[in-house]
Amino acid sequence: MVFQEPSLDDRLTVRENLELHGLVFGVPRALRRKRIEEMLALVELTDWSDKPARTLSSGMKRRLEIARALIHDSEIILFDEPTAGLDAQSRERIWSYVRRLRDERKITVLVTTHYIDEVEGCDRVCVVDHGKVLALDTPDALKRDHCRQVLRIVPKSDDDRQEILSRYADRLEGEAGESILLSSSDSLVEAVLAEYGTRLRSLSIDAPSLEAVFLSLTGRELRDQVAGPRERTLAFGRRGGEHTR
Amino acid sequence: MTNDDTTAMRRSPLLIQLGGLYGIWLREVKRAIRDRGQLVGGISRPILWVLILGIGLNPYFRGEVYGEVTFVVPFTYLQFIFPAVVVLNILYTSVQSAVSVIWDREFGFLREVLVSPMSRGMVLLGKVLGGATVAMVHGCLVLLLARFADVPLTLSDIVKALGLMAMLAFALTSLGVVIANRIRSFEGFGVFSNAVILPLYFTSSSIFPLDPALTRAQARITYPEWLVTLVEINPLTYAVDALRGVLIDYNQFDPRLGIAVMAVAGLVLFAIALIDFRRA
Repeated sequence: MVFQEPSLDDRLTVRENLELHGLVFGVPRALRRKRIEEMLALVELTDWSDKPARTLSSGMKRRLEIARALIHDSEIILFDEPTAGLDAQSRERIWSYVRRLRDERKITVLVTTHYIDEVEGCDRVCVVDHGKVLALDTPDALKRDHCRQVLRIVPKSDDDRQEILSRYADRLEGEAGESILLSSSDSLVEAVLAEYGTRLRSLSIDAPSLEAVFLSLTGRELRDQVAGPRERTLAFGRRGGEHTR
Repeated sequence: MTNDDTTAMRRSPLLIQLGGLYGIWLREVKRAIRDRGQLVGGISRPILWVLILGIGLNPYFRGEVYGEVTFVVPFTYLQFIFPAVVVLNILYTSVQSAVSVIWDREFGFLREVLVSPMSRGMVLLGKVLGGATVAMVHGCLVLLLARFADVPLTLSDIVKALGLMAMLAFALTSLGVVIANRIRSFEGFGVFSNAVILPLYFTSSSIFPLDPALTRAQARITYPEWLVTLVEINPLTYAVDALRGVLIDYNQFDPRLGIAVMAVAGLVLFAIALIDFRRA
C-alpha cells in the first residue's frame, strides 16, 4: 500500500522507517535486513539510508514509500496517486520501478492517478466518478468504445465544402470555423483522401486518448469543496505545528 | 524468494504482534528523543519548579500555632513540592506524547499501521507504552534533582517510586489518547496545557497541602468548600499523595488508595481509548 499523502515518519531515518514497517508487518529479522538493502538499492536511496526522512525531497520520499511497501510480501500492491505533485524525472523513475516490479515479482499493481496519460501502459483501466464505476476495460477498448476518432478537414472552396457536407451528413460531428469535423475511421480517412485529397487545404486526425475518454465519461465541470476541520489541522501541521513531525 | 515467503508465513501471529508492538514502542521513544522542544521542556520544567518556585516559597511554608512558628506539615516546601513536580513532568510528557496520535492520524502513520497485520489493540498499546516510557524518563529527570530538594532517596524508595510512576504514566498517556481521539481540529498544544494539564495539576494538592491537622469539616471552613471538593474528586490527588508517601514519607490519604485509583484509572482510560480507537 502506498498512500497518496506522505505517511513516513519524518523524525526517523530512511532505514528506521523501513525497519518499522518490517516489524509491524512481521517480516523476520534476516529477511528484513536483506529486503531493506534490496529495496533501498531499487529506489536508489542507499546513500541516504541514515538521513532523517524529513531531509528528503518529495520525490525521494515517494520513492522511499514505494520501497517500504515492498519490504513485506504481498500479492497486490496499491499505489494511491504515486506521482502526484512530482517532477517529470521522478515520475518517470517511479513508473520504471512499477514496471520492473510487475515483471520481477509477479504481483498485481493497482494504481490510481490523475495523470491520465500514465495509465496507457496498464492492462486494465477503470474510470470512477463520485464512487461509481463508469467504465472498466483495457485502454484500447475504452478508446474504441467511448471516444471516436475525429477527422478535421478544411476544404479549399465553398463548393467542395457543400459537397462534403451533404455527402457525409450522417458522419458530421460539427463545424468549427472553416473546418468540418467528421466522426472517422481509417477507411473514411482513405476515402476522403482519395476523393478530395487535392482539394483540401488541411486535414488532421484527432486520435482518441484516454484523456478524452475520461472527459467524455465524467464531464467537464470543476469539483470544488469546502475545507473541513481535517484540512485545517493538516495545514497547521504543514506550517510546522509544534510536536508534530 | 519463495523460500523467504514461506518463513514469513510460518511465523506465529503472536510473534508478529509482539514484534510490531516493539516497533511502535521504539518509534515513540526515538521520536521523543529527537524532539528537542519536548526535551527542553522536560528539563527546564523541574528546574523552574524545584529551584525557583520551591526555593522561593520555602520560607513561607509554615504556620503559627500558639505563637510558635512551625511547619504546617513537617517538611520544607521544597520537599513537599518535589514529588508533585515528578508528577507534573510525567503529566506534561504523557499528554504530549498522546497528542501525537492526532499527527499520526493526519500524517499517515496510523493509516500505515492500520493496514498492517497488527491488531488495533496492539497498535494502541505500543503507542501508550512508548509515551509512558518517555514520560517515565522525564519523571526520572526530576529525581536527579532530589539532592537539591533535600529529599534523601534509598534504593527501595526509588524502585517503589518507579513503579508508581509507571502506573501514573500509563494512565495519563491513555487519558491523553482519549482526549486526542475526540479532537477533530487541532491547532496547538497550548489548549491542552491550559485546559487539561494545569487544572488537573493545581487541584491535586500538589503545591499546597490541605492542612492535615484540620478535620474535614474544619478544612471546609479554612478553604473554600469548592476547592476542597475539587481536590478530593481529582484522581491525581491520590497519585501525588502516593508518590509523596514513598519519597518523603508523608501521606494525606491512605497510600493504598493512590495505587488503587491509578490502577483503575489506567485500565478504564485504556479501555475507553481502545473502544474509540476500534471505532475510528
